[in-house]
Amino acid sequence: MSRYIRRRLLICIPLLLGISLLNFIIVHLAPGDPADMLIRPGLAPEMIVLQKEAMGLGQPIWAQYGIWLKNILLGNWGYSYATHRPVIAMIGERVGPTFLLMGVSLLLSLLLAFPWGILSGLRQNSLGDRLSAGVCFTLFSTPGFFLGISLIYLFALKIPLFPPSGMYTLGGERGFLDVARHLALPAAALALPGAGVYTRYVRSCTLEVLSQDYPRGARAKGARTFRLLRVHMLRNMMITMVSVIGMEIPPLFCGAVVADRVFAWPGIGKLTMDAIAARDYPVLLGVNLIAAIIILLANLGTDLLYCWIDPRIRYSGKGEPPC
Amino acid sequence: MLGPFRSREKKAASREEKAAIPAARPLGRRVGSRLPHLPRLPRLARRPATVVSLLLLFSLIFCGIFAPWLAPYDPFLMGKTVLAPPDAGHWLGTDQLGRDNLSRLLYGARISLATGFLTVGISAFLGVTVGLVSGYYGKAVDLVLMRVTDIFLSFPLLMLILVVVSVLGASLRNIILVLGCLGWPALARLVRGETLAVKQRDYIQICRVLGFSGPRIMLAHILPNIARPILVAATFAVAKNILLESALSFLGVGVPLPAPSWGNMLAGIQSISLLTKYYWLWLAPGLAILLCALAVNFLGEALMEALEV
Repeated sequence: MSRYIRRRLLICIPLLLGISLLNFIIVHLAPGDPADMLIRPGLAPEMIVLQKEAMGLGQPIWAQYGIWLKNILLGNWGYSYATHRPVIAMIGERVGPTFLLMGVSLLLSLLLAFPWGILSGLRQNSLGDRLSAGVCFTLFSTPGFFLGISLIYLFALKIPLFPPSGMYTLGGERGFLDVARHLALPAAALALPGAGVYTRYVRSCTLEVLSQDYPRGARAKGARTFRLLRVHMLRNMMITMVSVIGMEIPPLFCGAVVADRVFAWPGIGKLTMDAIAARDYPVLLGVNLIAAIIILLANLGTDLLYCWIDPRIRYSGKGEPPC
Repeated sequence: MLGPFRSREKKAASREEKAAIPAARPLGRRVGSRLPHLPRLPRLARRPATVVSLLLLFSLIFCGIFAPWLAPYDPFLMGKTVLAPPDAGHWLGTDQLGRDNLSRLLYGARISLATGFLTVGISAFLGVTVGLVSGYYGKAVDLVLMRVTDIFLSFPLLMLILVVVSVLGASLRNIILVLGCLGWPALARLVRGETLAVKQRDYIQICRVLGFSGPRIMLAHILPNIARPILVAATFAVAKNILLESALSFLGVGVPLPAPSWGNMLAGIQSISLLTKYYWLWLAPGLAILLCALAVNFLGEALMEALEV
């Protein structure tokens, strides 16, 4: 088990290096000189040269990459061109709301998808199954921002159940209920397309498991459907579903970026869009790096979950999870 | 990574079917034919949903191609009636600048469909090349190419696109290039996997014994035999990219504004008052994106079934 985890962690290192290199290349493609953005106007040219030396801009590009990488590892992610605040602090205050939004919507979509998918798989090719296929296709063909706008229109403006935007009521008490009410619409807008995708996967997992011999055996021994599901099928379905969830984390993150815009949610997406508007490259790079790290962590989490679910991996200590 | 609905159960069933009726698939036919199993395409028409989506897709393509003749107004022409509700003169009303919404919608079809298909064309070219080379040559080549693919896959695509577009500047050409050049890794993975499976077959071994060159084997013998899953994955990718382009345009980093695209038609709706009072501004383009993506996704599912991927 620990050997497996060690292997997984080691695989992350070249990935992170590659990601940071890609980031670094992009910042060098960006127009404009980073020194010009930070140096006061009206400075003597000799002083500018000295400043650039101090910033390491005179050195060869590989040395610059080394310095940059060292700084990243030490937690110095640079300063925003727009606000002159440290990038890592700006990202730090946005990570929480993004995690909250992503986590809640992932949970919602799974809570919706499991019963729905299993039911639809158990009644394969019935009218309900076919209708639900249509609904699922519609859900994941819906652009997130359009769904968001429609939800705001229906449930915040026509029927004022939820606040249309923001995370807290202005000047109000910042309690749990307040956040939950603000979270409802963005989480729904993010969860519904995901639920469409997951439902299809849960359905095909159900069909796959049902085609095996052991549910039939359990059934022959008199197990009821619910017990069959709980004891025999769910764990086997989880093995596939965990990898599906891992695969769907990057799209979920992208959805969160768009949801930030629609619902004025104070997450990483809002930070990104502000940074793009201001051409604030240090913030953009920081955001990109943190996004990649989140996704790597999610993948790592997926692999560890495999371990926990599937004893074959736990005891063999190596190898790819069987898919 | 195909669409979300690849049922292994179905695959297993079709494998059994193959084993049971060997006469249904003469081995010799697969080796030489460049466009395998096209006769199966008529099976597409079996389901009403597929027929409807095909009709919808073709009419959208028709609208896009003939937009200059179909559109009642110039999509850039600013009229005097600003934010007019739908009526006989303007079927879908007018926008904040008095431009006719229907005309903009028709021209928007061009952009959405063009980005959808062109980007997938570019990513399919890159992905198939990388996947074939990686799968066929294996060893160090495979290792390096797959690590690079992993790096691209571990970025959230949207973030990478946002950064690249903000560096390069937003324009239709840049969007197509960026989406195309960043969308290949998933396809490369798929193609590599399929190549690895086909590489072991006897006919490829025979090709090697006959001394055929690597590119010849890959292009003339492996590619035709893995064309079906690629076609299905590419279809789903078209829907994905149409949605992605509209999201980018909505965020204001996609197709720049005077040009009408379905996504940027929605981008103007950032204030609550616009949203409540002028539903025609956002409902029509939103539904257009939804229907377009839905039609392509249904088509992908139907292709998957017809081609037995």
